[in-house]
Amino acid sequence: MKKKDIKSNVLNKSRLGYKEKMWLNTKDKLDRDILKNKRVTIPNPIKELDLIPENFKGKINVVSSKDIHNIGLNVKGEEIENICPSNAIKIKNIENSAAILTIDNGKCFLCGRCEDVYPSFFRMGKNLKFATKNKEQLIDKVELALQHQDRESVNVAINEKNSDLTYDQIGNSLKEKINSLFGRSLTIRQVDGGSCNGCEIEITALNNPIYDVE
Amino acid sequence: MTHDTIGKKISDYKSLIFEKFNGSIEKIYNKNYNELCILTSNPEASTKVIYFIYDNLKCRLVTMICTDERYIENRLDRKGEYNNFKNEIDLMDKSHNGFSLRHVFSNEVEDIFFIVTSVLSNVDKPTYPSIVSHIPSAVYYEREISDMFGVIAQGNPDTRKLVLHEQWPVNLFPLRKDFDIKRRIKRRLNDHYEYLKVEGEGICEIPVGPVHAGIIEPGHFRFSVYGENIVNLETRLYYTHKGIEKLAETMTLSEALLLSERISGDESVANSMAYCQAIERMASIPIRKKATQIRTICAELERIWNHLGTIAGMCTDVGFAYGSSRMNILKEKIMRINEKSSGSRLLFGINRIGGVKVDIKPVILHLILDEITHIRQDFDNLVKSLQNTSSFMDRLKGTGIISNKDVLGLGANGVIARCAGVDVDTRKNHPYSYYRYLDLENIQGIIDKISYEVELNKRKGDALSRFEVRVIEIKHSIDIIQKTVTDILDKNAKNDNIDSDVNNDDILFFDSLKSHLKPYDSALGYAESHRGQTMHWVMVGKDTNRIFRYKIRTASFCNWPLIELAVQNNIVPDFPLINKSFDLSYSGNDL
Repeated sequence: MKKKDIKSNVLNKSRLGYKEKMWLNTKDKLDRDILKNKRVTIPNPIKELDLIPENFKGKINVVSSKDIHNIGLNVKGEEIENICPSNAIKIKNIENSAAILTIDNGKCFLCGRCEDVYPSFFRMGKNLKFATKNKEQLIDKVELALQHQDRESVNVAINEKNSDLTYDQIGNSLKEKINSLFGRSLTIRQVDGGSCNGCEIEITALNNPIYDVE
Repeated sequence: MTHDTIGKKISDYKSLIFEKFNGSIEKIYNKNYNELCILTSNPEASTKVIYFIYDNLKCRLVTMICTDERYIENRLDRKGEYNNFKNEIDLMDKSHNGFSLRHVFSNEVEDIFFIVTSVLSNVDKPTYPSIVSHIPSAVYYEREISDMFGVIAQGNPDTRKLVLHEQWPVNLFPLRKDFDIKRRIKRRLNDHYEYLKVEGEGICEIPVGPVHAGIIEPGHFRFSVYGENIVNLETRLYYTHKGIEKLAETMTLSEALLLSERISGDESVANSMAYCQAIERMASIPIRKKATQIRTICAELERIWNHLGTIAGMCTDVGFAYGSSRMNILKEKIMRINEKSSGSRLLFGINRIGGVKVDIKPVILHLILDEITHIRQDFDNLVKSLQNTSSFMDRLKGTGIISNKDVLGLGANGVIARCAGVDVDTRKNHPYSYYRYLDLENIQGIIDKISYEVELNKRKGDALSRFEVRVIEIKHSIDIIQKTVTDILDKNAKNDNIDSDVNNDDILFFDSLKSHLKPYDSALGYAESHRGQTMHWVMVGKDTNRIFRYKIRTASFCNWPLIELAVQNNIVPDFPLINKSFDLSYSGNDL
């Protein structure tokens, strides 16, 4: 923009209030504008796979569960656990060169730190489908070079761990009650336990014309 | 401004201050490129220096930092070890046990920060004279420090709690070093907060929140109304105080980066950039140009989608669904660009200490250019149709006015300051990253200085001017992105062996940076988020990979007090609109 243009612009603006400007431009622009637009709502965003970009940060996968010896899991078990800032990665039963690695997708916030530090072991996949019906199913278990005689004891240990998930039981009974009252319509209740407001932004985004949950 | 001229300016100020306060200054030195540290002998002396800097040098108080330095060991040994360093670390002196208090001032004309440090040697009952009567914007910092450290500002008229609510036990100060982070607290329920009472015939109180209808973060608003007019509003925040500053003290530098991204989800780039810059400045390592370019692109993308979201929210609050839908579509488009370029819709995981994590490929750069020109066209048309909608403009005009004086007094920044004609912008005043190379004299798309002044003076501080500032900033951000992207592409076109070059450009491993850090060193980091200036201050511990103190001050912290003034004499139904036009973060405030 040239100097002259700016000055004349500034003058124009100061001379005319916005109301006057509005009257100058009244040509039912808004109405035509609404009719001109095409529909933007997409029926099923998950099915439109071309939406997923190349470097999408999805669910964490364990890539090479068989060569645990290469990264020296026996020594580094604790180190690998500590790499996760939200303690989502747990390794159990490291003796006898056998171990079970669990990734709690409920805790994971997809920072990608495990991938950065152990790129040969963890990888962020393109998988979008995190949602499960209860919290237990969010936990991924990966067996790492497990020997046969140890399998039972490890499984017992895991089952024991899962049995004290009482919140789920409470949640299930609550869910039944809610279902009996309100049927099966989708409801989102959010409890802010100190979020960074990223969740709020994304839940609000569900209401925009493109996803339009309503 | 080049490095030499800054150095000369700083030495000028150094001699000026040193001559004036010869007796009360122990040490005065320059560090981290543009920080002038002034170590005073006692808090009273530092008050004089502070008043001088505020009145005569026309600086703004940007933050106040308190640190608990009671338990720093082996300081005497260290003193011998580091004697030959030119920039001596102020903690090395044996007399400096106790809490230390730093007042940080920023000079908006020259790119200089003044840090006035005073040490409170009385460990049992640490106090210092309050500066609120002279510098009103200090009131919230002083209340925060008294909550978190038990360091009391004598003379601050507001002695109520700010950060910690009444349930928190008395005489327990979470940011002191002797407070264990794993400690469980017994809540007490016998105290309550005293709101300002407005009394008289016909005055009603309306409490709103902290649980809201809608997807909003928690915050309590206490309105005193006379009919429909709001006589007074008091906000109560910090319902989800997360203890980020305390949490950071348990972390390594690279872990704290993840934390800094999540201070406020929508300011992720700005906050992590400020954090990374603090450490990069401390290590005095210049990062690669391409990394700064990528940071700049992401920061501007972030600014665009947030401003679009705010304008959409304003349309919703006015009841103009068409405008909000169209704005939300544009916002969604930008968020998809974000996802394509970085893998995250909210731009998490861009920055790393010493550079960036992601490389934006030329294909994506072309796509960004393409999309952004389309978005610009759509946006221009949309703004025109919004400006032609009387129901929209009538609601905005004259709503939620804040005065120039309030902005200056309470130290607001960002859009809130600019909408009232106060020209502060960190990108311009303290250029960082790639903004240094951009022509920032025309920061809001206006090249002529005089017409820019005229434009600034016309802003009245109402919701309409905030809307207009946001519109201008979106356009300007698009300009910056176009410029930066073409810069990268031009450079790529010149270099044929792009791929090998790119890898060298971006990755600067942390190990190389770590060796440059000194124990107990500190630095400021700053960036302009879409809300305003975000100011971080990092001090590393004895082990230089660990954080000793991490002070965060986001723009929301400075701007929340303004909302109480803005709604006065407005009607209750306009409050959501005013609140949205401010667009402040709860999460960035409830650290």
